[in-house]
Amino acid sequence: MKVTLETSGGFAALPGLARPITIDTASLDAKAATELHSLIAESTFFELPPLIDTTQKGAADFFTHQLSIDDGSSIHTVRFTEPILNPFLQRLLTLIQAIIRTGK
Amino acid sequence: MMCFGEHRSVFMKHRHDFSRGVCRCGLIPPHILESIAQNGNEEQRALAQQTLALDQGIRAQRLQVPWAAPGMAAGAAHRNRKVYTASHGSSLPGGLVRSEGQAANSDVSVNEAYDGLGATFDLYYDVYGRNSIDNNGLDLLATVHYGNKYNNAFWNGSQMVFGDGDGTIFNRFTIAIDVIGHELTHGVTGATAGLEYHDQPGALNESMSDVFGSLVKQRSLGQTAAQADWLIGAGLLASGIHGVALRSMKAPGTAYDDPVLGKDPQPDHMSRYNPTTSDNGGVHINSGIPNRAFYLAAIALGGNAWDIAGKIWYATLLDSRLSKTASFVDFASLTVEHANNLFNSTVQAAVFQAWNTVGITPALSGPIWQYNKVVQLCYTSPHSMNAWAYIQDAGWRKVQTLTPDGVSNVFTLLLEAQAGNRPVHIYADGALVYQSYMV
Repeated sequence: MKVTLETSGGFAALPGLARPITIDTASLDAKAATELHSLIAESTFFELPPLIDTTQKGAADFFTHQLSIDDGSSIHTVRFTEPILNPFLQRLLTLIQAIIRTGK
Repeated sequence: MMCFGEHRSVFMKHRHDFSRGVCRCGLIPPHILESIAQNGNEEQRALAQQTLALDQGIRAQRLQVPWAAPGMAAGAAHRNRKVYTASHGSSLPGGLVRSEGQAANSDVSVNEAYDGLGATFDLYYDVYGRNSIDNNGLDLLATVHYGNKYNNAFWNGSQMVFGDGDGTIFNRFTIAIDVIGHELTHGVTGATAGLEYHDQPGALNESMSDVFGSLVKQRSLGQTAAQADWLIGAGLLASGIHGVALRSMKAPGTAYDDPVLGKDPQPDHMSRYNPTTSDNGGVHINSGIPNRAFYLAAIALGGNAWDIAGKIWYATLLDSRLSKTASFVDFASLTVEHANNLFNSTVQAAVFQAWNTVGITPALSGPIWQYNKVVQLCYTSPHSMNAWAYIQDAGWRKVQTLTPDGVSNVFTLLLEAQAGNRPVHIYADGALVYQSYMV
C-alpha cells in the first residue's frame, strides 16, 4: 500500500515542507505497518468524500492536507483542512506524520 | 492657487501661461513648495509658506474626518484578552489560563500571547480608532500549546491558535509579536473587506495581516519605517535553519534559503507573480508584491509607518468599494485615492510610485503628480495642434489641449527634457498630461 501526503498552506507556507511525501507500507516495520493498515480501515478512508472543508468563514493560515492511498486495486484521494473534526482522520494523519518524521 | 513671478527659478523650469493677464497655473506639489519655502527669494518664501500653511490646515481638517471619533459609536475601548491552553490537544478554546488584568504567570507562551494581543489592540484603537476586531469591543481569544509540536499559527474564524513548533524547524509561534498581529488582523479583514482566501484577494488578505502585524511590531519597538527590519516571523525559525524570518516585506524572496525548507518563494514584482494552485493559489507567496508596495510607500513617506501609510491601507480595507474578490490593482487604486483624501498630493504620488515600482499601475480617477520621470519619446501631429509624450512608468500621454500652459509650451518642455535627458514632474491622469516641470 502506498500513502502519499501533501500539506500546504499554514502561516509559514514553506515550499520545502509542501512537497508530497510517499510511504510504502512494505518498507515499514511490522508494527507501524499493521497500525497504519488498521487505521486506514477504521477511518473508512476509501469512503470519505474527496473534499472535507472545515474552515469557518474568515479563517486563515490553516493547513490543507491532501492524502492519497493506493491499495493496489484502487487509489482514493481526500483533500481536507484543519481543524480536523473526524477523529479517525486526525489519528491517521498523526500516525502518517510520525512515520514521516521518524522514517519508520 | 498661486504662482511665482519668475518663469525660471533655480529650482525648476515651469512655463506659465499669462494669456489672460494672470498666471492660472496651480497645484504646486507640496515638496516643491517646501523647497521654495526654504530656498526661494523673500517673496517666494512668503507665498510658499502661506500656501503650505493653508495646505496643512486642509490636511488637518481632512484628517479629522475619519479619525476624530474613532470607534466612539461602538463604545469606549474594550480591551478584554483571554488566553487559553489546549494542553497539546486540539480542542478549542481549551482551558482559560490568563484573563484581562491578571498578572503574568510562568508560561512564556501565555504571556507572549497576552502581550501581543494587547499591543495589537492598542495599535488598532490608538492609531485607527478601531475598538477590537469587530469595532465593538469583541473579546480577544488566543489558544497556545495547540497540538503536539504543532508547526503553525492560524485564525480559525473566531480566535487565534498557536502551536509550540517542533523545535527543529520552528520555535514557538508566539515568539514573534508580528505573528500575533498577523492572526488578529485576519479577524479584522474578516469583519471588514472579507477578502476571499484564494488567489489575489487571498494574497491581499495575507498582505493586510503582514502589514498590520509588522506595524504592531514597529510600534511596540518605537521604530520608524527606516529603522524597522520589515521581517515577518523573525526568531521563529529554529537555530540551524538558514534564514532570518519567514518573509521580508522589504526584500520579498530573501527571508530564507535552506536545504530542508527550500528558498523563500515570494515575488517582489508583478512580473514574477506565481500562478500556483498550492497554498490556496499562493496566498502566502504572492503577498510579497503588495507587501513590498507598502514598504516602499512607508519608506518614501518617512516617519512611523503606521501614521501615514498605515492609515491609508486601513482606510482602503474599510472602503465598501473594496470587493471580496478584489485584485491587486483594485486595492492599489483605492490606496491612491485615500492617500489624497486623507493627506495630500505628495503622499498620493508616493503611494502611486510604490505600486508602480512593483509593477502595478493604479487606475486614476483624476490627474495626479508623478515625480522624476524620464521623457522617452515625443510626438506631434503635423499641424502641431496635438502632441504626445512617452513617459517613464506612465506610457503615452497626450498633452491636454486646454492645458493652462498651452500645448506648445508643455510640449516644448517635454522635448527639451527628452533632449537633455532631464527628468520631469508631470501632472497627468491615465490619458492626458496637464502640466509638467523640468527637474
